[in-house]
Amino acid sequence: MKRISAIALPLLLAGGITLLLEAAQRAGLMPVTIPAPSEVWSRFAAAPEVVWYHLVPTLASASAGYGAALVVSLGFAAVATIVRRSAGTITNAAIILHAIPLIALTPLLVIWLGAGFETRAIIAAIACFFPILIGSIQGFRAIDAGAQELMHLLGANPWQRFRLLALPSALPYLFASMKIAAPAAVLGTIIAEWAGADRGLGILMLHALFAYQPPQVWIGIIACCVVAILAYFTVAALERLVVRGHAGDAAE
Amino acid sequence: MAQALSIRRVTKEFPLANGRVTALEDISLTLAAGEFGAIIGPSGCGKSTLLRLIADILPPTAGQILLGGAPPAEARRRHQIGFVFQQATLLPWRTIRENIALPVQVAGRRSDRSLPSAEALIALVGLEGFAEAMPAQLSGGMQQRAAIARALILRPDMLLLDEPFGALDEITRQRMNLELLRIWAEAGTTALLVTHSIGEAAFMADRVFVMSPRPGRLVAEIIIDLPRPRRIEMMKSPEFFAVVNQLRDALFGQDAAA
Repeated sequence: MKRISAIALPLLLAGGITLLLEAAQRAGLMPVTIPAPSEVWSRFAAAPEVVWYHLVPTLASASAGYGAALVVSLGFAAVATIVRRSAGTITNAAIILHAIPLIALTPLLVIWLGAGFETRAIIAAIACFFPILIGSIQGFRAIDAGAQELMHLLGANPWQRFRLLALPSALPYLFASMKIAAPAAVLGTIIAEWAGADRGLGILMLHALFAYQPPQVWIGIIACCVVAILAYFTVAALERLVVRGHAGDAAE
Repeated sequence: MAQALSIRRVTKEFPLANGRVTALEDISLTLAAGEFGAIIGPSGCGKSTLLRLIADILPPTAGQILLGGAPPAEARRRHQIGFVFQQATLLPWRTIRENIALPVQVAGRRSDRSLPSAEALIALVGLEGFAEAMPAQLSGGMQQRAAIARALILRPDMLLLDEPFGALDEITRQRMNLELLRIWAEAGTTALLVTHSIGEAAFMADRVFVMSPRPGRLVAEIIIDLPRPRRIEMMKSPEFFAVVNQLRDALFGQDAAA
């Protein structure tokens, strides 16, 4: 029952807003920049392959960037955990990198690296590394003090402590930050595409913008939303597979 | 009998923002191999700290500790120390079997046939049928049984117990104490139990070390000459009452003086 309402209520709300927009547009209450949902739909239905054509490269560079961010962040978080003294430096460097507006950094990276797939993946990675790094450092810190004493007693080496204690106890934190980071990777890719690409959801939106086609822009927005939501739920599903035995896990 | 544990003139100080606090002052004691010792004292007398010094979790400020003739760091590296914490401290993502086998995994001795199997220890502590359960599915007493099994799997010479049943209710606690005595007798190790229960110390130990707080000092050593195996009925005997009274005098004599 709970599950059904968790899905049904948001759908009902979205459906209600759609109907309201449709009615308002037909009554002439809305500006042309907000097209009727039916208009967006018929535009999409006329050529759905266009969305697919642009969706694939966005998904590819967002996933590549996300994967790279995950590996690099985990690596740095591991170093910050094992070599305690390096934690401050790593966090501060990450804060500085994170403080640079992505939209300002993107043109520079495009000049340096060219407007290729790798550049877009790197920008996606920059967009989503910060929450993963902070979440995993926090997770590695949240280790039960008794369990640490236990590992010391057992004579565990740093690698065993990391693999047998730090990593599993950090997983809930790690997944929370990975869920935040997943939509951010999509956002980063779209910003990168704006700075130069021939395919991608960002390009779809940019072209529609300059051609003054509000329905097409809306198709882009909705596609981005769907991708970001799917990214979130993919990570959430992975979490259910990986994390076991934690208190919150058995609740559902 | 051979000395399993010898503590000579051990002092432990902790640094504070302004100065230092002396947690343990000039502690000396010995425990023979196979003996069951107990340390009793009020909260803050440093009894848990003393146990951590023996286990090489903390270093002493001064003095010497020897376990079977070796310093604690060496005994720990050789896995001669089994430790049971106040909390079971099981890893929540590992099954009971995996938790009990953790020391074997860390020591890299999974193929060592001379060690008891996780199954044998599960049977020893009476957790048959729960090998594949997760810790959160077990009661506090059962979790502590698993923790005892984990402490014994590498066949330690010395079993250190830091108020292992302090979080349990009185009935479960009494039952667990009986179980612990049975396990101790079967495992054949030396044991040292930290407790703040007079009855528990009298019931379990061969030798009780009484401590006083601020700074933590050893005020008495009482030998308990009650027959083994100890039984619940024994707690009604005049001999047991005499021991309890002796312990109480040692504990409260210091309060009258203070």
